[in-house]
Amino acid sequence: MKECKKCKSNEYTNKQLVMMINECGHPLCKNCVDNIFALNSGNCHVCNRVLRKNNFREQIYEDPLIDKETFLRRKLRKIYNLKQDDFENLREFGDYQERFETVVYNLVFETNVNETNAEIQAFEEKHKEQIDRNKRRLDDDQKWIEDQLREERAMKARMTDHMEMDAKEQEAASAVTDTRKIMDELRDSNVAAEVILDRERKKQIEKELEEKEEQEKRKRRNKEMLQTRKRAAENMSFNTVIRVAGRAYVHQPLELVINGPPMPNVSEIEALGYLAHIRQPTAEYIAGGYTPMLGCSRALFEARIDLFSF
Amino acid sequence: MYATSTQKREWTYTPEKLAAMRLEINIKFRQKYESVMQPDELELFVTPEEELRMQRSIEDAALKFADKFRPHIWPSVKWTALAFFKRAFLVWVPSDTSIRMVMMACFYLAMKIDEFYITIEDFVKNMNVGEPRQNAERILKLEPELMKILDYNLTVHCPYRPYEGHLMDMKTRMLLLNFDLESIRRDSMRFFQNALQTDVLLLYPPSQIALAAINFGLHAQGKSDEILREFLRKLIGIEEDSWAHRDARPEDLEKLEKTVTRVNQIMREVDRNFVAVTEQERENHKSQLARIQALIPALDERRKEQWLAGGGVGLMPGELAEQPVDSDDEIN
Repeated sequence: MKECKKCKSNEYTNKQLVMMINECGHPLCKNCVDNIFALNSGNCHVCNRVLRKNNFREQIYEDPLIDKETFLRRKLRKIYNLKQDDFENLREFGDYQERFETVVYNLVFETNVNETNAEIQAFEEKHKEQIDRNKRRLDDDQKWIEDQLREERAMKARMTDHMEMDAKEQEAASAVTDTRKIMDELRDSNVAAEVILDRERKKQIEKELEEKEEQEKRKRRNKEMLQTRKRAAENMSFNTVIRVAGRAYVHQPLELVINGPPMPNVSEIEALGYLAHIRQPTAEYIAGGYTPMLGCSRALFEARIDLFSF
Repeated sequence: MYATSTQKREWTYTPEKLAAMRLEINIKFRQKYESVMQPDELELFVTPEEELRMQRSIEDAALKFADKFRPHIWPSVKWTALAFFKRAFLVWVPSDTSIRMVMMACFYLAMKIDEFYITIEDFVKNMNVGEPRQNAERILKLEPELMKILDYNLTVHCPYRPYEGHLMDMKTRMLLLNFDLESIRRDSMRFFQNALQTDVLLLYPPSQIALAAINFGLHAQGKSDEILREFLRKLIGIEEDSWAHRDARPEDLEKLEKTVTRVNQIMREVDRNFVAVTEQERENHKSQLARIQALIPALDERRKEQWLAGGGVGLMPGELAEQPVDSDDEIN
């Protein structure tokens, strides 16, 4: 659950909560950022580090540590952007990649920060030419991703073209049919031409009106939906107390009005020997829960219902 | 349970109410054709008593049909079917419908309601009159109309399970009886069969009918009401040998006496109203119904001509005004 440690608001009490995060990795809500960093710089409320307001970004992940890591990784990739062919053999490339992971780890968990920063600077100075050359190059993974995106875009365009073509064909076909029908009627029928044309014109006007009505209805529904969402967001309460409505349920045993002689209970039925006068069920019936008590109770119960109804 | 059922709330009557309802539908049916009737055709229209005998005739034939039905059906299907039949003809008129097909539709519906699974093809195989496919079509067409007229109150509470309950109670509590209580079962089943051809289904709760069946069986074995009284005393919890207790609970004694009176009333009702249908009577009913049902289309035609001659104002006679249906599917 996202929660601002400073003002204690969370995503359940404040529907519009937006969490921001800076390079130190401690989240802060947007309201607090605006208040504390009104002068464009200030201290972190947790670690007291001096931060600049324009370095705040919206927190994407629930865990601020992941946000911090992805930020640092993306930043360091601009420096550690060497490719495999920059090394003489695979082992050196592997060592380079592992070293990069160690650098990221140190910065995320703030271990040996000064030494790590010094190492980064030394690496940057040592490989300046290679870094500059690789800024515009793509490695195999990035190439693959771009290929996939291009293919997807092309497929979508192809499908859109297909659908548009189908719609046009349908429209042309129906138009041709309608036109042919009208011409046949004009030729064969005894009705005056004005009457037929009037009828067709009326039909077309009605169709257009229906389409317009449909569009307006859809628009109105969308607007209502948006208004409902906005109203719900505005009415969201900051109150954390949950009121308990209603009374606790107390079970009352069901009382059946017999209007007859009193019904013996289960122990009395057994003690008096009623079960000797009922057919014994088979093992399968007993396994299904149909004990002799069940049939016996039911028969005795129905024999008493409304016996004294006069 | 019966106490909260539609059977108790909607379909249980007093004898006077029953007679009034039957008279009302008969009068309404006559008034429908009064203006277009010839004097000699008036004698074809039957009285409510005659209509009731026609129903008994069909019920008698139906019980024979049920006994011969294969696979063998259990008794509650019969009771349910005849309950549907009697309820249907509190709304319909026997002269206006095919009373035999209504009975068949009642049986088919009762088999579904009582979870006696059978297909319509197997059902019509048991019918020995008419062509199977035609019979099937007519039954399936009648079934939704029948459900509608029954107001979709399809659960029927039969007295067979209360009978078993009473019998268990008797066997458990009346230990000093010196005869086998199971011997009354055959006579009690005969009582139920006879009761199906009377109106006790529409008048009394199933538990009381079941107790009447037990008393009937006891009487058939030569026993008196005293066994019933003893049984009810044990059921209610009255101590027989205590004068103080007897005086202390007059309402229990009153209940006992009222129950015995009611049981005897039910037995008398079945004994008086169950009159076996003779073959001659059935043939008379058949020919009379045939003549009425031949006359009705002609009368309908005359009503239509009269309506047209009067200018065609209002609904055509016989045409139903469709009631608007309240549908939950409609979007407000």
